Amino acid sequence: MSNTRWYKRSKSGESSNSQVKGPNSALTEFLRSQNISAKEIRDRYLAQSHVPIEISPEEEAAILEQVDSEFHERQATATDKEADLIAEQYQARFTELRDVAIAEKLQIYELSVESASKSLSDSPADSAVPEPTENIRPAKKLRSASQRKAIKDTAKALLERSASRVPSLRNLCLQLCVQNIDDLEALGYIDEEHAIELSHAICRNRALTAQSLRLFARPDASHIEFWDCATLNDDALRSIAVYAPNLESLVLGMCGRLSSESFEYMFSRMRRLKRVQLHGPFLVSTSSWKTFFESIGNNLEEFAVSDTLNFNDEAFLCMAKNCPNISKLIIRQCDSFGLKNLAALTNLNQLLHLELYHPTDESVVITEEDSIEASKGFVSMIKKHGSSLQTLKLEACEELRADTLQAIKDNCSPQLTTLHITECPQLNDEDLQNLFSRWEAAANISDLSLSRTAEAGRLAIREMFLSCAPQLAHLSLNSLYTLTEEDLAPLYITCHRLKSLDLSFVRSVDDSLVQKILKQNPGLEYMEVFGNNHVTENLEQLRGLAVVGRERIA
Amino acid sequence: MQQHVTLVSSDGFEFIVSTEAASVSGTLKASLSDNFIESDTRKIVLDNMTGELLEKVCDYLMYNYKYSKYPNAELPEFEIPPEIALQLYVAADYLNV
Repeated sequence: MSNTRWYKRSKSGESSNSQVKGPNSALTEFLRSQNISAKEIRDRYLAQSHVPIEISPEEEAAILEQVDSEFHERQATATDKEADLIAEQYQARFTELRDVAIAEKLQIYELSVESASKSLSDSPADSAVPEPTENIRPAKKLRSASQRKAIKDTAKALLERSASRVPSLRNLCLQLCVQNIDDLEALGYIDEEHAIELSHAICRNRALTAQSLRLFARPDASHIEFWDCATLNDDALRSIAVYAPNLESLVLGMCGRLSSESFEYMFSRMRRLKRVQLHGPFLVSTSSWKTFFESIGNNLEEFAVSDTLNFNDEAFLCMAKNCPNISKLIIRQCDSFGLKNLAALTNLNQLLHLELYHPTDESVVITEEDSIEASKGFVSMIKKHGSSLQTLKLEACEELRADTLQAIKDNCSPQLTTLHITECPQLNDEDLQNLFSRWEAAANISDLSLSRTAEAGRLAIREMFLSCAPQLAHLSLNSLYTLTEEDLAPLYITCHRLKSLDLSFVRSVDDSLVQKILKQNPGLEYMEVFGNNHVTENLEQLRGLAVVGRERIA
Repeated sequence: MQQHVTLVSSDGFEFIVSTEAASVSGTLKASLSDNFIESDTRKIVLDNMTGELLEKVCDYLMYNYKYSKYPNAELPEFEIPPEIALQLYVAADYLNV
């Protein structure tokens, strides 16, 4: 009944600010609270409507008349043989003239859409697309092939985090090498840095094979990075140890085909290995991990592992016990590993970089006891290493609570330059405010992320800017949607060294804010603004800055 | 600012390009700044590049300069002979292009 009444009121055109609440008015209220203009969305939809342009029957008759007059003489004198040919030509001429008429109308319509788009971007809330004139229905704006290619080139460049659509000569050469990689017999004299960059390009194009692997796995190689080993079988992965036994650093990404036997064989041959990164080695068993840590022992300086269930608490404890010289540790999405054992890291002598991502299985419900235990482990670890830690990244560590932040504040020194606390649901605005409030050690933090820590709001951000702003070079406030333009003002008042900035899904960000930020941070090279519909294409003229995630206004 | 600069390859070939185009390369741009003798002589000797490589590099400098200036112009493919791709890659890295 209430819906019916609302429908009548709506039909009669009464104001939407009335006190009557129906389903649509609730939606409008919600959109307004999120700074989303329903009118703007509607107008854009109208402009992008897919209804094709058509010509009226009168115009079609005029075209027919013109074609008739052109063919009248020929039809009169044509023989039977020529009649078919003339009929075909008649039809072709008619189609041609009709297409010309449609193209003319399309051009008129595109001009009106273009001017409407401009006025939309000038004042999105107040402007509207003019009604199409009679006989001209809205059509999707068509772009020429060259325009489409220019857009594609720009988008491709943005994906590479470059503001220019002209590819670099390095990238062009790498791409060509990748295309011809199977014809290459050897790299010749090329230093390791370039070889690694070439291997990156090959992996990015999924072109690494058992044959091309040998270009990089050489006896004199000390560092290899294969980020995509999905195309390599167990034997090919094993052969790395045969061709390059003198490696000091090895990175294998997507190495899911690496078996336990090959893993043990590889690391038994590579006696100089110091830095190891394995991503997705899910066939390597826990016992093989333990054998590896026991055999490599003090030599291991950097270790990263991700996406495997077999790297569990048992393997972690074995690592902490046998490899005390680890200075960089990265553990990502190893669901069987829990934060409660972090206390074991006190056994390490010189931990400088610690990164933990999604340490716990998302399907497991975290109890209060789990949180307390994890916090205890974390606090004892940070007490031991806090004074020397340079990098601390904690992502989706659901067990972390306020006391862990207090431990970070109490124990970390100005050595700390990188701090990421992202997706930690138990931390609220006040906890983060306490962390940054009068925290002198935060003065040297140049890389900071509070992304998706949904509770972080105005209080935390204000204190964060007071403590860290002058040194910040990389900042991510992704999804902190409660922040207003006023909260973000320090970005152009006290921040002057920003190089990259992520403000995606912070709805209050608009063109003018970006302009102000850029003015005060001339070194800003990369910015993400996904989900911010007030950042428009007007920013295109900003040279040297790659802005990714803007919505396109057709 | 003077308008042109001469790039000299290891085998003695000379290529004259506009200063703006040469400035696409971070290395050449820095060489042409006030602190170096190259800013007076307007000549930069690139001992680590043959004439064949340097010619391609100059082609690229012009290509980048031209198409960065006109963002809406159609971007044609930049042709590179496959046999020099690796050497050109090392040269491009040196020149920061």
